[in-house]
Amino acid sequence: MDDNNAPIFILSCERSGSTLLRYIMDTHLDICCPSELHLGRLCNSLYITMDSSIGQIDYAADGGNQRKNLACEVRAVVEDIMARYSANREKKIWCEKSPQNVNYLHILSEVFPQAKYVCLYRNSMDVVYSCIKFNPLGFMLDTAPYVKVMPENTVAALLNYWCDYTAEILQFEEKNREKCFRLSYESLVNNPAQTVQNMFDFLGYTTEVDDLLDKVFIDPHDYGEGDLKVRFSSHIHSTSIGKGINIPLTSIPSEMIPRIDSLNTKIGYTSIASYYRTIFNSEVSSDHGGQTKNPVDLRESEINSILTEVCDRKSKNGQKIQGRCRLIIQGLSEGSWIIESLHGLNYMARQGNEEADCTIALSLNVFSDLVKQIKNVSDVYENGEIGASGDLNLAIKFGRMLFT
Amino acid sequence: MQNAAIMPVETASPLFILSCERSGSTLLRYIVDTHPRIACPGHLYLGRLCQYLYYTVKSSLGHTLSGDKEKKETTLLAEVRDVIESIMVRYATAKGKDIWCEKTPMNLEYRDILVKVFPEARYLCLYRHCLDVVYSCIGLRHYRYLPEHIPYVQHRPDNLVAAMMSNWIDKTAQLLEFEKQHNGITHRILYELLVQNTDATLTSVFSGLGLDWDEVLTDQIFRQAHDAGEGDAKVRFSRGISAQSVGRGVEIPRDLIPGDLEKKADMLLDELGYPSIAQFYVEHGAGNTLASSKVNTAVGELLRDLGERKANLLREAPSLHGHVCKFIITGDDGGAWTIDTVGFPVISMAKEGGAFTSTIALSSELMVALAEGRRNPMEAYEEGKIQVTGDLDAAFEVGRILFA
Repeated sequence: MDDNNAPIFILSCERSGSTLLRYIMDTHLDICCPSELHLGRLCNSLYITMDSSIGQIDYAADGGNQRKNLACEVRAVVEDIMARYSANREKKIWCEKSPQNVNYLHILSEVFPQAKYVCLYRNSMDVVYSCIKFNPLGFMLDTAPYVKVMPENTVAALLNYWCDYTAEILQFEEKNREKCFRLSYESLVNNPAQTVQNMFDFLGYTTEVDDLLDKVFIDPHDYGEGDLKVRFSSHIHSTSIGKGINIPLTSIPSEMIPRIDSLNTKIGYTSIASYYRTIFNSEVSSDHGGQTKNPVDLRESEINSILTEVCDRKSKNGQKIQGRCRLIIQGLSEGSWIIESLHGLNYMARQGNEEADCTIALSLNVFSDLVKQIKNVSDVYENGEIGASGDLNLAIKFGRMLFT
Repeated sequence: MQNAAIMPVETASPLFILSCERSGSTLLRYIVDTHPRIACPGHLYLGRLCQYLYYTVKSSLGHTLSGDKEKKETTLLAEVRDVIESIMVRYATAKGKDIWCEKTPMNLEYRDILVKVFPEARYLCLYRHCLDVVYSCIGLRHYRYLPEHIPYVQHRPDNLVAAMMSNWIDKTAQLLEFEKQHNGITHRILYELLVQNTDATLTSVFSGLGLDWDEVLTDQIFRQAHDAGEGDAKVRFSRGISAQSVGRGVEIPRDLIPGDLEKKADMLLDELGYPSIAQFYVEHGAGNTLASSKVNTAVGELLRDLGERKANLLREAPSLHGHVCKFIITGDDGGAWTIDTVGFPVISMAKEGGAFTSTIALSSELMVALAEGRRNPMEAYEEGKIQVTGDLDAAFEVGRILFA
C-alpha cells in the first residue's frame, strides 16, 4: 500500500459532526466512507487472537518483529474486506469514521502505518448538549461508561468523556503531525467550501468542492450506525452552534473547568466563561421547538428593569428570604446579578458576580420565556433548563420569588 | 452425565469449551491440547472476534451483496468463518494437528454468533459446583476482578458471595439452555469427575467426539509443552491432575448466601446432578479440605535441598538470567535467602545490603506445604498468602521451577 492508497480515519468525539464529514468524504469520487465499522476494536481483537495462535508458531523465533508481523497479518484481513468494499463502490480509498477508534489509536497506527487522520473537534458544551438531547432514553456506546461512573451529573460525565477523547486526539495529533489534518465542526458548517478544500488538499485529492458539496445530500450513501439526523438533512447548516449555552452553568463542576479550558486553548476555542458570555443568535441557540417566534431581544438594561420590578413587587409581601442569590443569565457579556434582601427589608437586584449563598443559572432564552410566562419554572426545572448550586433550598425559594 | 446422541467428528470440526470462569477450563485446555489431533491454545476470544467481524463485514461488504436476506446472512457468516479458519487452520497445521479447540470462558456470551458461524463445531460444556466456583472467584479478588465479574461486583459490592453466585447462576443457566437447544453438538463434562475419575471421564468425552483417548496421554498432560497464553496460571504450576480443590467452597460462610440465590442455585445444581448448597456443606464439612500437616521440617534444610535439586533448571532458565531473588520466610525457622542463578550455591542465606530484582515472601508453614506438593503455589498466591514484588515474571518463574 503506497501513500496514495492509504486509508483515512476520522477521529472525533460522538456528536461532533463525523457523520456529516463521512457523507462529504463518501461523496468524493475516489473515497468511500461507510457507516461506523469499529475497525479499531476489530484490529485489537484480531491481534489478540493472532498473538495467542499463529503468533505462537510463525513468529515465536522472530523476536522484536513479532508485533510488526502480527500487525501485517491484521492489516491483511481488514484490507481484504475494505478493498472489496471499495472496489464494489468503484472507489480507490476507504475512510472509517467510528468515534470509538479513538480508544484504539495505538493498534490502528501499528496496523495502518501509512494512514491519514482527520482530527475533528467540536466545542465541548455543544457536544455535551447534543449528547444529552440525542439520548433521552439511553446513552451511546462510548458515553455510557462515563455516565455510569457519574450518573448524578450527566453534564459532568459527558464533559469528562469530551476531555478524555479530545486529549487523546490532541496527543495523537501532536505525535503524528504529518499524518493529521485538524478540522473543527464550526469551520466545517460555517465555511464548508474552504474547509473541505483544505482537507482534500492535505489528503492529496483534487475535487471541485462546490460541486461535491451540492451532491452531499443527493448522492446515495450506505446506511448504518451513525447520526440519523444527517439522513434527514438537505444542506449543511450552522444552527447547532451555541446550543450548549442552554446547559445551566451550575452543572459544570468548577474543578473540571481548568482541564476543559486547557484543551479549549489547544484547539483554539474560547474558555467556558467566554462561551457563556457569548451572545448567540437566538434562533440559533434556542431550543424552544417553535414556541418562541421572535428572537430574544432582551438586553442587560432591560433585564435590570425586569428584576427591579420583580423585586419591588415581591418586597410588598410579608416575610423576606434571608440570604444572597446569584442569578447567572447565560448568553450575555455581563450576565450575573445579585439578588438579596438587606436586613430583611426590600429585595434589591444589581449586576455583580461576587460569592453568594446560592446560584441560579439559566439561558437568556429560558429567562425570556419565564418572564413572558411562555414557560413555567417547574417545567423548566424538570427539563434541566435551569440549574442551581450552593444552598439548594435557598435557590428554590429565590426561584419561586423571581419566577412565580 | 453425557448426552446420548453425540454426532461423531467426520471432518476437522472445531471444538469450543464453554464454561463459567474458574471451572477448570484451562485444565481441560491442557488435556485437549495433549490429544495428538487437537490444538488448543490460550484464550483467543473468538466469540468476540466473530461478533466484531460480523458487524464490520455487514456494515461494509453487506451493502454490496445481492440476493434475499437469508442468502446475504449465509454469505456474511461465511466471510467471518473464512477469516477465523484461515488463522486457526494455520495454527493447528503448524502444530501437526487437524482439529482446533478454543476455550475462552467469555465465549459463552457469544454462543449465538458462534453457533451461526461454526454450525458444525462441537461444544464441550464444562460445569463445576457453584460453591467451589464462588470460592475460586473470590480467591482472585485481592487486587482486581475479572472483567466478566465486574458487573456482578458492581451490583452487589456489599456481598461478594452473592455477586459471584449470581455470576455462576446466570452462566450455568445459559449453558444448560444452550445444551438443550443444541443437544446433538454438545457434550457435558463435570469438573469434579474430570479430576476425580480422569481416565474414565476423558475416554467418555473423546469417545463422544468420535476420538480416542489413550490413558498414556494422561501422564503427558503436564509433561508436554503447551503454548503460553491467557488462562488460569495455576495450571502452569501443577504436576498432575489434583482433586484437592473439590469442596473448598465449604470455606464460604453460609450466612453470606442469600436465600433467593440459594434456591436458584439449587435448581441448577439439581439439574446437573450436584448436591444442593445445604448438602454440599454437610458432605464437605468445614475445615477438612485445608488440613495441613504440622511443620516438621527445618525450612533452611528444605531450601538447601530444593536448591541442589533445582539448581540446573534455575541456571538454565533464560528468563532468569541476571535475576537475583530474595526469598523471605516468616514464622518458625524463618529468615531471608537469596536465589542467584549464577551463584554457588544457587540458594544461600541473604546478606545485608544485597541487590535483588524481586522478592517472594511466604510463611514457613506454606513453604513446607508447597515443597511437599500439598499446596498449589498459584492458588496460594491468589489467596494472598504469597507476596511478590519487583520483577513478577521472573519471580513466577522461580516459583514454577521450585514448586511445580
